[in-house]
Amino acid sequence: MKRWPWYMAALSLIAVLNLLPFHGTDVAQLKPVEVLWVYGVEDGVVIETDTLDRGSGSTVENALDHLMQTTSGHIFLETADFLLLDRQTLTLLPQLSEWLRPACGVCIAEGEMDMEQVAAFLNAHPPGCTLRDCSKGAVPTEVLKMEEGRMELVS
Amino acid sequence: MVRSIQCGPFTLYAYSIDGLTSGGDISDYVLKPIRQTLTGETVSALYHSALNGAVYNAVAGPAEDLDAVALKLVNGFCVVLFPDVGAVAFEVKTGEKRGLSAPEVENTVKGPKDAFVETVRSNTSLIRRHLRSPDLRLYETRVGRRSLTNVTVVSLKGITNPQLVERMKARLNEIDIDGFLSPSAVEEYVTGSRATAFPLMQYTERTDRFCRGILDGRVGLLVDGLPLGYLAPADIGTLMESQEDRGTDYISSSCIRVLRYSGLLLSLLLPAVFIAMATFHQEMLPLPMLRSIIESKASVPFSTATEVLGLLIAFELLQESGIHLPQSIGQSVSIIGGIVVGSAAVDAAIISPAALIAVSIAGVCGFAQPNRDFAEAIRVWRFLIAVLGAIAGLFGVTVGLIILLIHLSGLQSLGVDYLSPFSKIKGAGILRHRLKNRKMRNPELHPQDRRNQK
Repeated sequence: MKRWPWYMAALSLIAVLNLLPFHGTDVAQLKPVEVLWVYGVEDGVVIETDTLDRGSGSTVENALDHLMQTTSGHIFLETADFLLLDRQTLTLLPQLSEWLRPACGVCIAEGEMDMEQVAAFLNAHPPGCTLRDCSKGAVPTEVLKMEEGRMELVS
Repeated sequence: MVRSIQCGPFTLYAYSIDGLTSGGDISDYVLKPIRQTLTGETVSALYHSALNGAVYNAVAGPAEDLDAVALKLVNGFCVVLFPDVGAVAFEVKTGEKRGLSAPEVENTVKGPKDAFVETVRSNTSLIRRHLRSPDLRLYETRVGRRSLTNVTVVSLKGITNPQLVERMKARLNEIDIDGFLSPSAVEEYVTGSRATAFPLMQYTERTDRFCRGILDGRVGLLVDGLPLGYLAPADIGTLMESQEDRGTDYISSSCIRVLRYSGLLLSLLLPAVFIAMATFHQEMLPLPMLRSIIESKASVPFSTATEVLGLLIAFELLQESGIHLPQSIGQSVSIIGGIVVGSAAVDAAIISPAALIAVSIAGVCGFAQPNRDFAEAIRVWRFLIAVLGAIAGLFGVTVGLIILLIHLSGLQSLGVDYLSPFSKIKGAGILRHRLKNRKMRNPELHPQDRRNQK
């Protein structure tokens, strides 16, 4: 039993020196994302979030890295409930599936989006297709449109 | 006090200790009968006459040497010295002792209201009133070189396993300390001073609960000067049992017990799980809750782990200050500390409401545990598991729980496993069964008579 204090002291030292293989992120540093909008541009991909953060890059990985690096705090994609794509980025679904939850709803966005309003709208009118469905071969068909400040989800 | 008594041509000497003896009783039941009824030709004849009932006193016996005389004197006897022959001790204890009162800690709505007092003789009489069986056995001994504390082992012949009684007696005989005065001395020495925070004996201030334990086949221990009765062996099942369980019907009791065990888990794990979720596993929190936690922590300068561990320490300090202060001031401190300082700290964004709620719920659940020693052990482990949760998230919490389980599995109380109520999957450890269905005593105690009803 006399060795216990030494074990505890060693563990505390390792923890203090941050040498443990466990690294957490405090919840206060998180920026939880609810809606992720991924659209293509001429030279690559742009990702926007409902937290009004933005990242771009030649590939989706680069865009995500850019998003993470340029955002103050820690972008938290595990909470994303909705993924908006355009026709060009539909092919990126397999890559995006690695970052998002399978229950994340997917639809196609057309035109400009007001990201502050999208989450509230999609919570009231969730798209039927999820990433899980997409991984089984389904293709999202619902289209989210915004005209004159009003949003509409069209099948 | 020394008093010389002229008995015919002979002079006798009466010794007693002021405060331990009653002056009136010495006059009425020692001095007066010696003067009026004791006659004899020699001192030896007087001595034998006094021993054989000429002196009107219920308890009289020879004190054969100086040690015996001293022992009698400190136990409230008046010793009459018959020069060159011997000494006779007469019991004249003072009647000064605390009267019976209702239990202060183990209150119940229903049930008897008599609690143990500091005088062991009063306690044995209380037990005899509850258990009128002639099979009740009281073994008395003294422990403590200086304190000479009277200790009584209580058992029921025909029910209590004799090995348990012998083991208890052997442990008492092995104790060689100056004073056997504090509850911790009793618990540590009798249980063998294991390196654990968990109680290996159950204490109770309720006589009915003590007698219930004796009837179940456990061994009781009464220590002069302590208003408590100890019961051994103790396991988690008995420590989680409240006297109120026997005061209500089995359905209500079972529901309350489930709630109590849930409270035990919450008290042990909630702060650790909160730290782990908030630091390592945020994806497990629902988004609205995560958002609300993030918002509440927006301007808090501390990490969740620091916040929760700090609050746990503050909570312990508040409890400690409440215990050491008089009851009225203690309540004020609790109110000021808990409500005023807590609210002010949240308003000042020093701590987040979520962390405060997690620690408060754990604290309140800790208070729901019926045994204070057990609840304190849980408080120690709660802190350890919270530290592990802060280091390694749910992995750390799981490691802490496994260590706790291993620790509890290794504990024994008088040879009975601490986790024995859960060793067989019967649910018996948690639910209170109908009394008419509890026909057998706990087999782990190896009672001589296993059946307690037809």
